[in-house]
Parts: sequence; C-alpha cells; structure tokens
Amino acid sequence: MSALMEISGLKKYFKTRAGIVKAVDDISFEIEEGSIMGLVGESGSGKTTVGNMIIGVYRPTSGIIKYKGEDISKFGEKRPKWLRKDIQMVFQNPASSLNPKRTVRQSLALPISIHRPGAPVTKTIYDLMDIVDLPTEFIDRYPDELGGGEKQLVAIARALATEPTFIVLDEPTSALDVSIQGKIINILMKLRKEFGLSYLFITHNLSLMSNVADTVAIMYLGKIKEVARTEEFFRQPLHPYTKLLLSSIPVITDDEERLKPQKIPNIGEISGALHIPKGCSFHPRCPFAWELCEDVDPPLLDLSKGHLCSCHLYSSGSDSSAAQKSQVSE
Amino acid sequence: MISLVEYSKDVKFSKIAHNYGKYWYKFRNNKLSLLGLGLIILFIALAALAPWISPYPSSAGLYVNFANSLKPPSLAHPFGTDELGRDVLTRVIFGFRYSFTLVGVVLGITVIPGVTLGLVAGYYVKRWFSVLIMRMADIFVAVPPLLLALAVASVMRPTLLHVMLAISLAWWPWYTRLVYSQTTTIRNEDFVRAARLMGASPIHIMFSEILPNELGSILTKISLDAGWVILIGAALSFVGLGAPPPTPDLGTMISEGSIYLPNFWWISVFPAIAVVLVILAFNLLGDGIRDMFSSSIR
Amino acid sequence: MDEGAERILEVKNIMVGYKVYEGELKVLREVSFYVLKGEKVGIIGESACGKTTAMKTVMRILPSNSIVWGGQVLYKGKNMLAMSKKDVTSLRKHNLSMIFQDPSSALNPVFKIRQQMYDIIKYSSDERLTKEEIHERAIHYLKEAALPEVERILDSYPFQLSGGMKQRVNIAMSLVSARELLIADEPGTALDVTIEDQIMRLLKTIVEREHISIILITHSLGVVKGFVDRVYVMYAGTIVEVAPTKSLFSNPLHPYTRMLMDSVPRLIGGGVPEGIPGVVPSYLDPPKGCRFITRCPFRMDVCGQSPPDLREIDQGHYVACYLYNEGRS
Repeated sequence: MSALMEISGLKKYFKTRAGIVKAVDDISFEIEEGSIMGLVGESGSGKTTVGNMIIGVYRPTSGIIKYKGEDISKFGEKRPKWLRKDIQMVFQNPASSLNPKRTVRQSLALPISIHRPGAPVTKTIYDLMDIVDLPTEFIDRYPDELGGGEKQLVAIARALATEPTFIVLDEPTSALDVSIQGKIINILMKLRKEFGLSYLFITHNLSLMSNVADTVAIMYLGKIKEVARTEEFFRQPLHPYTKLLLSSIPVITDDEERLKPQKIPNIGEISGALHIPKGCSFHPRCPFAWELCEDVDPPLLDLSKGHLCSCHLYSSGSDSSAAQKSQVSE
Repeated sequence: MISLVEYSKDVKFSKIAHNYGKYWYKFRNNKLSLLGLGLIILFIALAALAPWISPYPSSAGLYVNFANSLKPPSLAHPFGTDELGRDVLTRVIFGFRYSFTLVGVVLGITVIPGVTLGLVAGYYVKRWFSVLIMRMADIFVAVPPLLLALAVASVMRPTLLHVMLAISLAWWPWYTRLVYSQTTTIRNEDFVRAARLMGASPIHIMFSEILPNELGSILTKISLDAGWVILIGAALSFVGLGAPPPTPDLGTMISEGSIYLPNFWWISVFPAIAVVLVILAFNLLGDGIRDMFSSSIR
Repeated sequence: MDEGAERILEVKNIMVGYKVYEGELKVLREVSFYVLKGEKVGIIGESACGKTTAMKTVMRILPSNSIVWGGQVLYKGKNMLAMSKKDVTSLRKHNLSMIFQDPSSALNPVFKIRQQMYDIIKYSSDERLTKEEIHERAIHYLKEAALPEVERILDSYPFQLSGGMKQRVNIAMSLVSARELLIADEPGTALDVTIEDQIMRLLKTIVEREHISIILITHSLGVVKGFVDRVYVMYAGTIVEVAPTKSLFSNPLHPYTRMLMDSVPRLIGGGVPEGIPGVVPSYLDPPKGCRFITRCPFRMDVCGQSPPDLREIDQGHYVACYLYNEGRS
C-alpha cells in the first residue's frame, strides 16, 4: 500500500535581492495513512516552508508532492476544491490565525459554507465545538475574549470543519502554556483516532515530539539530517545536530537528564539562509567536523531499518578511522 | 432544555450590547472627545433645524434692509448685522447647513469608491490594475485641491455642485492610500491566509476579512476629513469659487466681511469662529473614534 | 544562602490591578518576594499569572489604567513606590536593569548598535566621558556578552543580527547599568532552544562572576532548574510556593506546582500529560480564598473561605496551602 503522502526531491528556493535563499533543499519522506510524522528544526531549518508547500501556499521550485497517488505540486495556490477540503492547516500563533473582528461562529461558518454547502450551519458549528470540547456559549465570542488554548481549539475546529484527511500542524502548542498543551495535544490525538486523520506535526519541542510522533525527521538549513521511528530516534540519536538539540533541552527530572547526550559543545549559531556553508551545512557548528565535511555534502543514508542519517561520520565511504576517533562515547 | 436556537438569540443580544458598551467606554475615557461629540451633535441639530430656530430666517435669502445694516452685536442681533442688514447669527446657522451638506456629499461620493479601490489594489498587489490605481491616486494627490477646484471652476460655472465635484476629485485618493497600505499588511496575516487556503472568494476576503480590521482608521479619517472639507470649502468660497450670493456660506461671509475690518468686525469674525469650532469639534471626535478602536491594554 | 546577606530588592505585600470596562482586575494579591545580594531568584508562572505586572510594579512602568492598592517595593531599604522620579531614574542608571523577552524590542531599528551602546553608556555615567572612553567601554561590555567581531556588531543595524546576537547586545546594554540587580523577563523564550541554552549559560557566568543579583521570570521549569538558587511559584496573582531549587524539584508541595511539573512532556516518553483541567479564574471576581480552588483536586471547604498563608514546611521551603496548615484560627 503506497503512503498517503510522498515527498521526493522537494526544493524551494526564494529569489531575493540579496541572493537566492535555499529554504528547502532536496527533501524526501513519506507519511503513512493514519500516522503522525514529526518534523523538527529550529528557525531557518525550512520546516515551516515544507508545511507551506504541502498546504499550497508556495509552489515547489522542483520536486514532487504526491497525495493519494496524485502529484499535487503542480497546483500551487490554485488548488481544486477537493484538495483544499482534504488538506488543512493549524497555524502556530492562535492569536493571529483567527480574525479578531469575526466571532467564533463566523470563523467556523466560512469553511462550512464553502465545502459543505448543504449542511445546517449552526448545528454543524455546535457539533464542532463539542468535538473539541469547547462550551457552545463561546460561539458568539470574539478571539480576544478567549484564552490561548481556547483560540487554538477554535482553529482546530475550523480545520476539522471541512472534514479533511490530512492536517499540517505548524507548532500548534508552542505559543501556549504547558498546562494547556496537554489538553490540546490529547484532543488532537483523539481526533486522529476518531476520524482516521494523518498529521504532519512541525515543532522544535523534542520532548513533545517523543510522545506524539510515529516518525521523526530533523531538518537543518533546508536539508533533512536524520529520520527514524520515534523510539529508535531517541534511543540512539546519530547526527551531531540531533545530539546538540537533545543536550540543550531544559529538562526537570534526573532521569531525563541522564538520557541527554552529555558534553556536546554548543558553539556558534545557525548561518543565515543566504550563506549556507559549502559541504555539510552544519559543519561550522559541528564538534566532529573534518576536512571532508567542508567540501562534500553527506548523502542521506539508510543506516539500519529506516533510520536515515546525513553525516560523514556514518558514510560507509568515508575515512573510518577519523570517524572512530571523533565519535563520542555514549 | 432550552432550544439551542433561542438560547443563542439571547446570548447574542446581550453580547452585542456588551460590545457596544465597550466601544462607548473607550470613547468616553477622554473628556475632550465627549466635548467634540457634543459640539457636533449641537451643530448638526442647528443645521437641521435652521429654518425653525434661527431668529430671522429671511436673512438667509434675498433680503435687504439698509436701515438695519452694520449694527453691532446686541440683544436683538447677538452676532450683529452685515452690510445688507441681514442677521449674522441666522446666516451662521444656515452656513452650517451648507457646510454639512458639503461634507455629506463629498465624503458620500469619495469614501466608498476610494476604500474599494484601496482594497482591490492592496489585495492584488503587483497586478497591473493595482499599479494603475495607485499611480492614478498619486496623480490626484499631487494636485492641491484648491488648484483643482480653480481648474474646474475655469471650465465650468462655479456652483455648489461643481465645487463639491472638484473637492471630491481631490479627495478619493487619500482613502485609497490609507486602505491600500493597511491592506498590504493585513493580507499577510495568518487569518487571511487561512481564508485563502480555505478557498474563500476574493470578495469575501476583501470585504469580510480585511475591511473590518480597517474600519477604525477609516472612520477616524472620515471624522478628521469632515473638518478639512469644511475648511477647503470655506477657502474656495473665500476666493469666490463657492456658492453664489446670497447663499449663506461661512467662507463667503468671511470674505465679504473682510473689507469691513476692523470697525465692523462681527461680520467676519463670527463666521470664522464658527469654522474654527466645527473643525475643532470634528478633530476631537476623530480622536475619540480612534481611541474606540485602539486595542486596550488587557 | 547567607541569612545575614543584604536584601537588594524586597517586595512586600503588593496589591496591584487594572481598571477596565468590565470593572477592576484585581491581579496581584499580597505578593511578596526578595532577592539577596548575588542571589539568583526565579519566578515561575504561566501566562496571565501576574509576573509581568509584578515586574512592572517594581520598575514603576505600570500603564495608566493600573491601580496600586498597597504594598512596598524596597530597594536596599528604600521604598521605590514612594520615591521621586529623580531617585528612580538614578536607580535605573546605576543599579538595576531589565532584559525583555523579545530581543528586538529594546533595540531601536533605525540606529546602529554603536549609537545605542554609546547612548546608554553616556546616559548612565555621571561624569563626562571622552569619545574614546565611551568606545572602550562599549567594546568592553559587548565582549563581556561573548559577542564575536565586536566592531562589526557595532556597525550593524538590529535587523542584521540574529535573535541570539540581539539578546547578547541587550545583555551587554543592561550590564552597563545593572551593577546590582538584573531582571530578566523570559530572556530565552523567543529564541531557538540551542541558542537559549547559550544565552542562559552566558547569563549565569556573568552574574556569578560579577555578583549581580538576578530575578529570572519564566514559564519554563527546566530553565529555572538549571539556573536559579531559589524559586517563587506564582499562580493567578499569588505566590503559592517558595523554595530553594533543589528542594522544589525533589519535593514539590503545592498542588499547582505538582500538577505543573506533571504537565511537562517527558523526553523519555510516557505519553502526553493531561495538563491541568479548568482555566485560570477571572481577575474581575477572583476567589476569596485560595485562587487555585477552581482547579485543585484536593480542595476543602476551608480553602474557599480565606487565603492560606505561606508557611515554612522545611528549610526555606514555604507553601500557601491548607493541606499543610492546621487551619487559620
């Protein structure tokens, strides 16, 4: 059975006055039906651009997005109605994703009137509010009369209003307090089960990711550096950037502290997207980099049963003694 | 169990009351705005009821009484009489009529097309018609309204209608510009993007999603503009391009009375004070409207 | 911590709120906290808990519709709320400073960093400095904030710098005047997690080396754990628990603290926690007793009657909860 969504060779380059910005540079992955794919990265990694291409905000510079077997990358913004209905998005900032001058009722009525023309509008809105566990009295409220979590639930209800199959979740809880995040995420998981949805879950929060996604992919400056099933990813992180990310997370229990890779030097910053370094884009910050890393971009190789990594430390063709020397002991 | 439909109707009504109450609260926060509002209401009332409340209604039309001319302010004539014996107070009250008519017509003609053009140009940025609209706006903005009116007057007879047309031509691009600059920013907001991705029609997006967020600045501008239109109208009348005599028009009164300064000062000064007050009132009102739409701290 | 050490800042029982259309928001209820010289104190709280209001009260930058019903803010013994504008300005010039969450907010986008650094140095110095001296000091502070290529930074506009670099510039600028107390309001929240890690390490190094007291405000338990000596937990405008960091994390007492810690998803897995059900109570009509009563699974009748006091349960570990009181008499 082929996957619900197949991305291959996806690229998005932006032409700016200062030069070409390679936001997404040759990305490939698959999302099975009913699964949650996690996309992790910091600012500038390109993860949001990937989401935007899937949802149709941008047309890819090159590459293919296959949805239900059909190439949808050719559409760009002028998507057919069935596609708009099927693929929805929940944005990061709940405050700006709802029109401050429209009530909840009006914001929810819009997708219903476009994609489900026969449906009884008010009743459908009430149903949606129930599904996301919001009191129906809220429908005449304006966004500024709702809390952050409540706004996000309205955004989720809006995405659900078209009866979609696939939802891109762009940092859905990053702007919310941690005590509310759980509720939102649990509702999302419940909805997935109930409606058989598939998610692309974009976030920079690895702790959250480890409990939500089935598969995790890490992006850095437009390229995927590592992909693996979640358990495998956290049990044995391979890429130096992954290890750096993990070691930077502020955790609160000693168990988690022990789990983090230790003593990974945190130097430098992500280079601007205009000046992506030659060779491996991570090498200026990598504590294990050597000459090869400055010249050649490492390929994304399958190292063991679906655990892919793009790093010369693991490339079979590289100088293995150098690799052994610089590898840190776990 | 209350039927869902009834329940929502009740909630809706009290919610609407609550929302308007919030606007009023923000408005009355500033005492000066209340003053502006009060003055405007007063002046509009005067203008509307002019024929019935002015002491000497005939002074507003063709009327001559040389025996009574150039009399200083007194109990019988609080603002005095002019060179033809007409009561200045009456003429000032009728002058408001003319001014507010001017405002109503000019803004009535210019706001809706101006805003619509701004929305279209701002939403469809970079398309050829957007560029065309904005360059046209640039052209009309570059010509001072007074010169434009003079140009119009030199081609056609200077009547009230032509004056209003001239001012309107000069006015519409300001709304287009205001709405254009706001629209280009708002169109990039997440909620607009969400509506676009949903497949909403451009008409819906422009008028139901973007425009409501711009109402605050548009209404504020309308209020401030009212003052400007009155001023420009008075300036045109002052140079003789306004309504023909004997129409009581504040600018004309100032102009005609200026040759009698300083001895018979009341003929020019009272209309001038009226102009100043009405413009001030619109400005204060505009401040209040702006406060109404500004987001509160909490 | 040395008990005899001087309390640089002591906030005593402040009651602060705002006047809005619907009425009065009674936000802060008898909030008290202090910072000793050289101490690192953290205030943990979620959004709308009043931590920003508390900081604005201390810095005297409350908005015009704010109401201060009572309390004192003592800076080395003197009440800042009663001070003249001149004295407060003097404090801001020489003793205390603040770093904000948004790295761009403290930087004027139309001036180069050079101009902004120079201005701050000139302004906070009482004596007249020569151009060379100002330049020397600018370099010195930027270097203290671990900025590389200092000359290039000075010649840059804020938009040319990354979030991490901007925050370092903010730190450098605050070091110019914060010789005694630094208030950091969510300094790393807007940054990537790897950069936040760098910034927090930098801050820690600096304040420890210079013996600057610091109040760190954040919603991230993990950040607070790795950084501060003592923690205040705030909920809905009240302080519910105070403890040395180790004590708080090994033995959280207040139900809110416990539930908050449970809400954080664990790196090792275990599913997504439910979080804390319910919502923060409205400040228009807050609960008379403990403000956590609407969401607390352990609530008792006494909790709704009057607010619980902060009681010391263990060495330096205080909690405001009737579960640990014998009840007020």
